[in-house]
Amino acid sequence: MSDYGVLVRTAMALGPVLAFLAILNWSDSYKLVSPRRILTFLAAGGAMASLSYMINSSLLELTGLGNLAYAMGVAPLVEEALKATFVIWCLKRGKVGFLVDAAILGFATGAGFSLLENLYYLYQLPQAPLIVWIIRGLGTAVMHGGCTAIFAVLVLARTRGSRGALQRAWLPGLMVVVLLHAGFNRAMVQPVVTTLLMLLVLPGIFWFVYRRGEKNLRQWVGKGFDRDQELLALIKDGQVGETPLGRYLVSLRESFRADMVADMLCLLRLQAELSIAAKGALLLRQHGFQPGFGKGSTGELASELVAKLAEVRWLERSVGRAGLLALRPLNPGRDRDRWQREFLRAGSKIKGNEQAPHDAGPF
Amino acid sequence: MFEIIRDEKGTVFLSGRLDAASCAEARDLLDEIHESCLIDFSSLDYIASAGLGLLVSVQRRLMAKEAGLSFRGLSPHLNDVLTLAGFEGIFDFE
Repeated sequence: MSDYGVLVRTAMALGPVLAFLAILNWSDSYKLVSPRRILTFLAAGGAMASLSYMINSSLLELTGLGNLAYAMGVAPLVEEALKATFVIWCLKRGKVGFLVDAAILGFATGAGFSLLENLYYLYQLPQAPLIVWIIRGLGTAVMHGGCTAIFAVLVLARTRGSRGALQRAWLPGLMVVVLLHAGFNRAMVQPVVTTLLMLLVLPGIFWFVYRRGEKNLRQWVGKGFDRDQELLALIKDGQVGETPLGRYLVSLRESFRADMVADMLCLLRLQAELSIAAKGALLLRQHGFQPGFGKGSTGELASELVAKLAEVRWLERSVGRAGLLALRPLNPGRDRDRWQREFLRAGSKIKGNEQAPHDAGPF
Repeated sequence: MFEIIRDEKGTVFLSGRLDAASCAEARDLLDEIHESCLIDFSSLDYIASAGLGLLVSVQRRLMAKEAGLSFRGLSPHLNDVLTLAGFEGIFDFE
């Protein structure tokens, strides 16, 4: 086959899913996912594809099923479960916090999976007709991305970053996408119709997810920013005592030592400051600016963030789990604390062991 | 009560609370600004994220014309909040 033929087949097999991913990222007005992180998601998807190849090969042999039966019944479960494992890991570590970045995480992971799969088939079946690569590029590859994106969005929507809810939410989400994947494989007896149908439905789903996601994000930034700056004003102006917040903190003295209550107040203040930094950065990105603590920032803003993140961790250890539980009512926005810290940590380029701890967890 | 006035030298004076409710009024005046402009916050009691979003969008528009907003008379608290939010790199603080 001519080089031109190989080139066209490769472009058809790999191009559509990458174009779809680029559109998803371009449509994110808050630029929640950095290009480097997208590459990480793609690579992780590729790793899952390698694992799935090994597992599928062994199971095919063990089960003795025919290829078609296996593709409809077992492969979807293996492949979606592997991709879901990486998505759950990212959700647990606060790598994504909203519907939009969850959709990008999921689609990029699925895209990475299908890119490696298609590259393998391009190598194995170079003579396959062009229509095969059109179907695999526009159909199978986009299906992989779509299914994992739907999984990530479903799980995030049901858990909103809460680790406890994550345990309960991932299984139903996985069942949904396994059924979608198996249904797609079954419908591939009519590949062109199935592919066209999917290409009609999937953009609509993403349009709805983005519209809902960006509205939630705008509200979270707006209300959260105002609440945090009011809390900060109360704490700094020393007027805390005359407010419900102050009376609640005073009541804590009956249960906690005075120095611990003082640490709690410091923790509240630092949480508010870090929250303002994260929301301020999102407000700027929404209007096309780069956040102050990113690459282009002055060094001391980033190092100030590093110091605050470390101090928050120290204070959390100091007040302990009981203290953190006592502070819960004072931080209604806590479900995204993990994401917020990860966003600030990644933005201020902290490496190595300065990660926010995941055992203490935010309050 | 929110109030926004522009004096003969072009300086804009804000007073009261700039929040979601008063943003429309502020936007009407700020949309008329097409060159660098000084904003005086001495009499402003409170600015919500909606107000900050408005100022950022105006700044974005002006920077495209090589112009920009600078802030004067920020209260210590507001100065801290804007610095924390990373706005120091976007606006000039006098």
